[in-house]
Amino acid sequence: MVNKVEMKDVSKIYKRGKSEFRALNGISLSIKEGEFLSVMGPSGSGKSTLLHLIGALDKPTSGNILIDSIALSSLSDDDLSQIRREKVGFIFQQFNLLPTLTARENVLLPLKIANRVSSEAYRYADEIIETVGLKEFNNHLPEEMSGGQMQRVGIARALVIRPSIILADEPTGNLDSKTGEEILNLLKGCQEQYKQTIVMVTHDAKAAAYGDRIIRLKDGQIEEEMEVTNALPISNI
Amino acid sequence: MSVKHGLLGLLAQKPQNGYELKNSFDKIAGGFWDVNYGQIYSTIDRLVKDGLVISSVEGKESVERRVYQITEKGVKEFKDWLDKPSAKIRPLRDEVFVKLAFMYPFDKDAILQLLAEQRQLYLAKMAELTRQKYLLSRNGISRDNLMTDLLLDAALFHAEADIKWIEHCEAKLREFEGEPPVSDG
Amino acid sequence: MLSLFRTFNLRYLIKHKLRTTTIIFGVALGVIMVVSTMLVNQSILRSYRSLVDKAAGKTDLQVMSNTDSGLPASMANEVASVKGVKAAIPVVHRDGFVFIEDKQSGVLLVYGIDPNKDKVARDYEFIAGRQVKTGEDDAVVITKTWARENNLKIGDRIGFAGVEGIKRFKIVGLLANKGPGQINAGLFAVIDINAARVLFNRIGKVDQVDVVLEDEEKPKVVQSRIDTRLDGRAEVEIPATRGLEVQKTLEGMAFFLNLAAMLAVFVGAFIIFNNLEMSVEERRFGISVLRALGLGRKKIFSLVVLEAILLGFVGSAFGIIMGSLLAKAMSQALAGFVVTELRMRATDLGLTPQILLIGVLLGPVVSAAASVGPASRMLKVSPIEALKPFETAWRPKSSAWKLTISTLVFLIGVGLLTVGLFIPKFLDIISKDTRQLANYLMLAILISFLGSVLLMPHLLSTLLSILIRCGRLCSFTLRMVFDNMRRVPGRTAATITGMMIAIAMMIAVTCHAGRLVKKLSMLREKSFAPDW
Repeated sequence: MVNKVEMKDVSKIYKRGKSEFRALNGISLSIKEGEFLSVMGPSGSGKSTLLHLIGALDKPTSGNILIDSIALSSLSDDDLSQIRREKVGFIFQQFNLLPTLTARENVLLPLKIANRVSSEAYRYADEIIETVGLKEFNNHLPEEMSGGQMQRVGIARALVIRPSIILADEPTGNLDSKTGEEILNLLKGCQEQYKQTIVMVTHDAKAAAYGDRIIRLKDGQIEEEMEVTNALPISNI
Repeated sequence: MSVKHGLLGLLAQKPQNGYELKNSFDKIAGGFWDVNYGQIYSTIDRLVKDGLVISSVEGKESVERRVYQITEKGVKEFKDWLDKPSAKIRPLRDEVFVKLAFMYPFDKDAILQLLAEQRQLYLAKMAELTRQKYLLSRNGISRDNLMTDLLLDAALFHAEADIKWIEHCEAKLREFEGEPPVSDG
Repeated sequence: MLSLFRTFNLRYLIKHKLRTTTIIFGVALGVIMVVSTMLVNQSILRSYRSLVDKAAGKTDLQVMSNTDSGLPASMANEVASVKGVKAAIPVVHRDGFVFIEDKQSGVLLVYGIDPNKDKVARDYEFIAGRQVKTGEDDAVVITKTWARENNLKIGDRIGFAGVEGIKRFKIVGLLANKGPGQINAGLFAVIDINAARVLFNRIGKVDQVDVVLEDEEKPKVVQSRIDTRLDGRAEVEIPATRGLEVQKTLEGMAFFLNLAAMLAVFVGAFIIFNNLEMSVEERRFGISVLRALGLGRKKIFSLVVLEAILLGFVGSAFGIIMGSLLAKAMSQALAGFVVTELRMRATDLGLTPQILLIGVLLGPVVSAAASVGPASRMLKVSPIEALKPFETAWRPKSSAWKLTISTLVFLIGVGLLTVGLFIPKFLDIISKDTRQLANYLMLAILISFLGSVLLMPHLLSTLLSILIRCGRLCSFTLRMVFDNMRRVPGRTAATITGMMIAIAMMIAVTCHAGRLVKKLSMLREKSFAPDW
């Protein structure tokens, strides 16, 4: 089985005037299909940058990233956009819903962007909306919804294109603990029901604990790694 | 203190013998709290001495067959305890802290290693508990398993607090010893 | 794609009605001015040209009375005897109130002619019937245009109000729509000269003598000969020159209207640009989310431009309607003035397909052009912005070559203007045709304004940087204002340049309008047919 995501010796360097800042410093990582990976680490450890790169929002300065065996380093901006709209589902900490669209329209947005307008696609979208518990909020605008409801929309929106990989950036950061729990249960359920591969960045241990594998970044590198099935730490880099 | 009140509560439901009491206690504590017969009997004896419980001797043979019953005074004591909120914060009897007290300031590297390993262990435990929690929620929370769910939450929150404290310790120890901070805002 | 447009663009437009209306207004502003100017120029100039060219016909000189009472009929013979004169044609002409079936139907310019002599001066072309005959005192020839308008045909009767009441005439001929048939935009009738004398109480008189010269005679030369001969009893004019003067004045007016229209388009473009900028910037966050979700940059660009084009069409539609109304109003005003002064009628304000097309396309084209700036800026929105929703202290980088080009364009424009206005020799090199000169000046003005638009942001940035550096002199609020302006120099500069153009326009209009009115009044005295 081919890995969903392969990262080999990836670095991301930002130039600020004359000095440079290494957000990622030679990271290597493989993510299996259907895996739920939690990425922890303090601010500045590079976990957001990692997410950006896997999500094709940005390109690495050096090293290789492969998503579904497609190398990202050689892609143009338009190609990266294509990858995003066909293969990546993003869940944001601030929900990032379009304010003039209803819940259902926000969920359908990626379909419109990727031009997948078949009835099959819409049927799947409605199924997701039901699974996620949004049906009665279908016609609400974001300003009429609570944080938890908005994040459900975010999850549904990420799922609707059947992405190769779902990336969640502190998905429960703006939610209270009970709502956060519901959202995480939902995410875990999606992993099981739809066999989605999920990468979640968080500094919250309770959220990270939902992963099958938990890695900890420090200074742009993987410092610790743990597989939850064994419930024992693998290595202490 | 809770063992005393736990037993009172059980006896308030119905009179039981020692064996039954242990089983009931285990069911309520949900596997988190190991209470052995020794603790139960010593607590019961104190309860009898204080007049909150009476024992009726059924047979002359074994202590285990003794049936205990709650008194009116006991019922009142139990009700008072039930209604009053706890005044004290949980006592800090963390093993890790004790180890720390002994190791610092002699072997800083060993301390950091210990802290890291402890943190990982807590996290692993949390992952395990989360898994249980997830399975519970997937099958639906009902009146029967609500308490279990809350108990799992309690364990998770406490473990999270422990992890946070350890991360905090790591950061402060590093900084204090002259090392640059791990992260910058 | 269309549904994206519906949700991302249309809903925003509907929600922010004021912003949308302002943009549409900006479009309409330009379209209204352009359409109305084109319509007015077309109708007035057409009318005038038809009057001047056609009435004079082949006449080289005209002898006219300088009083109201006309010239003695014998003057025609006197003039005929001057050297170089090939023919001297007497004409009686008046404004005649015309009656169709006893109902007053307006005013026609009535020429009383000598049918034999008049054909030397004017080429009559008939579409039906024939010319009046000498001595026929109840025959009239009218134009086909006017006949058709009033459902008249050969044999019908019309009446003219004369000193003895309404006299009836029978229509014997219809003039084709060329040459004399276009005089006074078709409000023209021909009767026998003696019938005219009786009708209008001009017995023994003429109102003017049209003179045709022998070949190779120069009009100016013969003019002075006739002057000498008549010794001040009448004025001798060269119709071509007089016509030219009025034409020049009217063309000056047309040029000016064109300039005003062009400037209106400019100002409108600024309004569009400013508001589009703001509306697009407000949706920056939404755009970053769309980018994060994988929408390509080209699509974002086209969404913005499409929105502008849509607003452009709406503005055009509105502008064409309002422009036509404005043209009618302007024509009434001008015609009121001009008709009494110069005998013209504002012909139909028909929207020719040409004008309609220009009106329809002007809005979307200007909008699209104005939208390119904001749309390109949105291309730079990075999808990562969606993950960090805070404002950056971003400042546009000024590039050296942008500054160079702006300065160059500005200097070229101002240079062309200066040279054109102050060095007449240069103008002669360019061309002798006034219309081409007008176009040259307009182009120079356009380039100057364009140059100021491009240069303004740079000047502004420099000025603001200096001001901010005197930080201690400014209050905190003022510093924030300056910083704000510095962040979007394009938009601030657009506002300033827009105001600059508006003020320049106002000054120019005020000065020029005064002079125009004076000049047209002067020409009134030389108009070629006094009133009752």
